[in-house]
Amino acid sequence: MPKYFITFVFAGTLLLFAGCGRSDSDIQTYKVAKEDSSAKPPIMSAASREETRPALPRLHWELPKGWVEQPAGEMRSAAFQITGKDGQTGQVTIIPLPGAGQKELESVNMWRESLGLEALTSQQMTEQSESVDVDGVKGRLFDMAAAAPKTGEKLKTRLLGAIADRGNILWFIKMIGDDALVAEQKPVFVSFLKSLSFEDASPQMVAAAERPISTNTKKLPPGADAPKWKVPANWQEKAPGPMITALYAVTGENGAADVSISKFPGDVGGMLANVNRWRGQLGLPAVSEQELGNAAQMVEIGGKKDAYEVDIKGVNARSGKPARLVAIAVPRENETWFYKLLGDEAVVEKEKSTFQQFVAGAY
Amino acid sequence: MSNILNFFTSLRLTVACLALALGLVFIGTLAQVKLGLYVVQDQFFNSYLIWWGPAGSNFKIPVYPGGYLIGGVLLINLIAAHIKRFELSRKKIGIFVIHAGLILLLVGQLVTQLFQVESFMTIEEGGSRNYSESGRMSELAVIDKTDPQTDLVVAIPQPILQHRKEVAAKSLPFKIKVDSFYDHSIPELAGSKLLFKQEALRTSMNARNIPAASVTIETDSGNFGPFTVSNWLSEDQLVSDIATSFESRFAPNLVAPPSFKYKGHEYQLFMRPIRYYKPFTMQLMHFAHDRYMGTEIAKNFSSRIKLLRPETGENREVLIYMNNPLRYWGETYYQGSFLPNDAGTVLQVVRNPSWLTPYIACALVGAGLVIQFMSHLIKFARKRSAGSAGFQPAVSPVSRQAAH
Repeated sequence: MPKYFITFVFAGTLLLFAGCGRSDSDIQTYKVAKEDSSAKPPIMSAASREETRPALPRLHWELPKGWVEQPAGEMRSAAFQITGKDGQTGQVTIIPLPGAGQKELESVNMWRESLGLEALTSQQMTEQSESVDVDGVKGRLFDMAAAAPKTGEKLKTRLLGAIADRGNILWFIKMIGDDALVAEQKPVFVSFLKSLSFEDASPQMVAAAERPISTNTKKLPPGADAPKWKVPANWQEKAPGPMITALYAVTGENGAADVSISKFPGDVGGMLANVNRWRGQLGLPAVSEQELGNAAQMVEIGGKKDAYEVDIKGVNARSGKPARLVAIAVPRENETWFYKLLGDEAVVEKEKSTFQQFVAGAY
Repeated sequence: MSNILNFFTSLRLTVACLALALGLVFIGTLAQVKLGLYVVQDQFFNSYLIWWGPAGSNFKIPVYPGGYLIGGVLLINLIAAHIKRFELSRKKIGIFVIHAGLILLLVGQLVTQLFQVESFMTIEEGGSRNYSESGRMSELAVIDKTDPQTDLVVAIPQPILQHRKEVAAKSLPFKIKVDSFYDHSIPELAGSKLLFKQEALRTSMNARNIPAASVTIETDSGNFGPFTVSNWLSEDQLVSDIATSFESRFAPNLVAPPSFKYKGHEYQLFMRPIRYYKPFTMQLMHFAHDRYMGTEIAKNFSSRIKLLRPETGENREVLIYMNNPLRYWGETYYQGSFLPNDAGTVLQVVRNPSWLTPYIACALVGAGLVIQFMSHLIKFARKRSAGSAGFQPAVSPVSRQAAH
């Protein structure tokens, strides 16, 4: 009898083990050295970026006519593109530099250097500046133009730079572009500076980490339910990326293609922006509002003729290979669904009608 | 009592368990199509019973024994039967060794299932890491940043956040109230706020679920929050995805970690993959993605690593490549994957305390079989040679006639 007892005790213990949790289901407490930035990968994490950046105010503005908002970047709180007559262009950027109170002269001279102008002394800088109102704060405006066009360019470059010191953050608002256009835009730029308003981050905002520094506070209501699509038998499901709802591979005798489905709130910049983004992915130049009718066509999906489709050929910017893209955007409720068939031309040609039916059948 | 013993030592029970195990593998394989590998592993194999309930209802009934139950009963049956019939004799030594091998295989698999930890170490070329990260599970890291040299981290794993409304840890002077937890979420930009919307759980083998939670810090003197935490806010690649998606409407501060001050301490909250810290650092010196000449077909992936361990003074180079892992500190580092544009390596890190048991078990079973068959063969050969001493060949009538 004792030998059976040993058996049951042994097996019972093992089964009890099975009921126990593993170590990664317990709360762990430990000390670690603060992460050494030199040991970190070159790409800084969002968290570490924030560690070097104090809570920045929320920025509001009145968008001048003809200015197009551009993606903000690592350093830029906001950016705008301006297009003038005869293809003249200009860009406006807003850059906050926390704790950079002593860097005004250095920054102005950097602007001047970029235009091939000599550096100024502190006194000269003061003399050459104009007073400008930036959300109730007196800022300084600098207007400088290159003496001659840069090598290979026809037009001279002009720069309007405003610097406003708000607390411990120095704001640099700069317009740079073709001389005539920037000169023409100067009053607009000054009005834009006046329209800027800075909403300081409250302690609650800092704590809640809801501290955007740039926003066009557009309301984006929650999205609609997912469409019901039926996947063709020859499409193989692949692992989608985090922002991709579904991804399928289509292979043919003469290559391969991917079908990707994603959705985003709102109109994601609108039809022109989306069509130009797709064109950019195949290395094609952007089209204007007037050319949009030829670049994309409206299609009826689910009884609504608000979807649009493009069929373009070019070179895939990621792979560097020739590619064709058939893309359909379907606006629904408060979100937009994007369907893309991208890959080798022969496969895309063969799958195009299946793809179109797939999208149409989902609604 | 004897009935129970007879039941647990019966060969019928062995056959029934093996048949149930076959059935379990079959239905588990089919279920993977819909549920994915990891859900099936949890619900079918790492459980005592498989539960079923009508869709949309909380009512559930057990419909089939799970892997732990079948394996456990089989183990009891195997050990009990073996003890019951155990007989220390040379004749049975082969059988004994085979059974010992089988028992070791079952026990080893159970230990593996219970204690194996799989994680990934991602290192960019030139960068270094002293921790690996879970590929599936996240944790809420409450980090006390007050000390200028070190961070005090209290890591609350995802299962606790999923199942508890309130979390208290001895090393924290406050409680964490879990207002909501989403196993998988996608970000939405609602006005100037980044919100997270619950999405259906992804079960595909390669698809990843990205959790998000809303938590409130409850102190004696009031609450902080609610704070939104998610891997979307803490992982570079996910932040990059958000930035790409929201383009000009994205601002870096949208992904700032929630922070607050309490009793003179500064805390930050991060939802991130579960981290497993090591007492050593690995620096990626070079990652190579070799291709067959003139093609894009991969020939080899390799990572040249510098292993630095201050406490032992180790500072050596290691080359990890396909089928040539590094075994170190009870862990095995495989060349698992790589970053886009060959910018770095992803090492698969496996800690399995019973990694040797399958080898030993197979060797035991093999040795047992050899012993068993050899003993029979020797016995047979002896019998044959003993018989051949008085052997009179039988001559057929035909051959007799032919002889004449």
